[in-house]
Amino acid sequence: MVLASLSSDALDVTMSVEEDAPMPVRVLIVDDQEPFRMAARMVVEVTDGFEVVGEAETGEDSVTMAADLKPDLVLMDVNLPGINGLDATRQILSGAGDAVVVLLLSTYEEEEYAPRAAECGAAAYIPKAVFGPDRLESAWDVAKA
Amino acid sequence: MRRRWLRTAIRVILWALAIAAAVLLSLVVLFLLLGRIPSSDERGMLTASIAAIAIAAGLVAVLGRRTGTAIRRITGGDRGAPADLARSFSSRMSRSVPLDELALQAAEGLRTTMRLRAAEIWLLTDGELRPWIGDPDIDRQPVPLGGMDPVTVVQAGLSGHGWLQVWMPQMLEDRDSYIRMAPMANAGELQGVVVVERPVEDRPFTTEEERVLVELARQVGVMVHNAKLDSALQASLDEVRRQADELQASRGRIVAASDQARRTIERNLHDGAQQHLVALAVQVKLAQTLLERDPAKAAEAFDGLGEAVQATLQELRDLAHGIYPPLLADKGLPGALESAARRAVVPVTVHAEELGRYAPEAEATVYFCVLEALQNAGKYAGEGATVEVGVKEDDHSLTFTVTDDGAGFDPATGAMGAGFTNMLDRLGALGGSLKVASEPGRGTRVTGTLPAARREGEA
Repeated sequence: MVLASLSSDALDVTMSVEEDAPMPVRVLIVDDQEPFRMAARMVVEVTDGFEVVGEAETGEDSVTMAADLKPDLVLMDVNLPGINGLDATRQILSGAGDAVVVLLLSTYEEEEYAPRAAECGAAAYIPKAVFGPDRLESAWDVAKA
Repeated sequence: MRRRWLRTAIRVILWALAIAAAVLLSLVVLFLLLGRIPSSDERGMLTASIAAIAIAAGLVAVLGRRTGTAIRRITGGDRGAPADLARSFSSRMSRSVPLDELALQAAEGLRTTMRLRAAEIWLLTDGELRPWIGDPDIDRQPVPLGGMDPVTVVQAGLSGHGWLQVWMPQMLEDRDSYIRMAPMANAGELQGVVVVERPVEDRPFTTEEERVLVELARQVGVMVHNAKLDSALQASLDEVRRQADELQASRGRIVAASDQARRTIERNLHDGAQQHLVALAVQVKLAQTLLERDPAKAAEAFDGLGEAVQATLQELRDLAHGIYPPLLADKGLPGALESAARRAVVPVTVHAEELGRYAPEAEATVYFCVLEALQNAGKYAGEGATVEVGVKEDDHSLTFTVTDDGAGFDPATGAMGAGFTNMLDRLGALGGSLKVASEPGRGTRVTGTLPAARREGEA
């Protein structure tokens, strides 16, 4: 029984790896507010094909962690202590180029910030209040299309 | 004085030139009538004559008036002169002549018109008569009134040798002459005295002269009194101006503090409650998404929502507390201060049991001042310090004291921090005041008082 069970588990694992052949999108969350980091982590974790690889609280940390962890996607808050999200985005993109997609998030209205998001090279701007699995997936798809 | 001499000099020169020109013109006319030109001998004589006439004209311009006065005196026509002096002094007072110049004119006028050895004006200052202005200059020590009431000098009126010998012998020292002293008073209040001296070989003072002396002294007294009023008024004006400047600065600080408070509230709302609500919105949306995709996980997400709502509520409560403590509105100072004491970083004991309810602005001022003082104590009193807060009502005012046994500071060298300025502004706006007592190693005591009446129908 035990052996059978073990082999069955092993098979499961192998199969699941084969089924999810495309590697999950590795996400770095950047936000100085703990409540939102937690909510964003929940969103990323329940969205199929995405996983959290790290969290940063400042712009400076996000640049360092992006270089170290090489994430596929960065969820970047605009208002950060130290360098702000726009500058951090520029630095991350200048280091990693097309290998990374940055989504800007903020509590500000979309009209206010969407143009500035484009200026700094971010793929999209998402108001925090409407952030969810759907917006995460659609923004990623548009960026990679 | 200099201007007077300049005027006299110009008058002399103009007189001399005018007379010389008139004489020259007359001579030219004369010689034209005679139909001949003067010989060279005659021209020398005529030039000398014109010069002499011009000098004589100048002398008359200088001495004319004094000569006239002297002639009037010799012929007994000068009896009105001292009375004129009092009258002309009175008219000069109404013009804007400086006080000491007026006084000097009075002394000089007295000495000249009454043919005195000396005319002196003394001022009453700090219970003694001090030499002020004289003709000639007064070279004497101040004369203390001793135990004598200044009113006695006023009531004595014009006094002479006899009175002075008994009451003010110092005034007679080194004087061997006829002497009179007249009080300078205004509404019975002694301002100083006028002292005049005439050599014994001359004639004694006449009744008329004495009357003029009394009148002139009275006028100088009024003048000194007015000048004192002027300077007191100026001092009051300066004080009012200083207070207005301080008020202006304080208003500016209140506006700036109010703007700063708005920014802080905006910041706190944005960083605190808004972030919690945004996270809550994300979680709600996530739970909805999960209901469709994975109902089992949706249940977990809903569990998390409860916690997030509680965290948001607490955040809002803390924020509201910072803006206006709800306990202060509900329970008044004792409850709010007890609550503030529990949140303080140093151990705090509060004594505020006897208080009632007061105007909201008075309660808020006491509360925020005590809070400010507690924050100062938390920052500067040091390890192991304890704080006592006392608030009491006393004769329509509230007084609070915040005393710590901490490090203290030297108020003479240590600049008052922004915290103290805030307290001063808050208290000042309600007509209150603040005292800070401290010394290094002996702790700090902050005491504030402001007018406050109990609210109607409140305990």
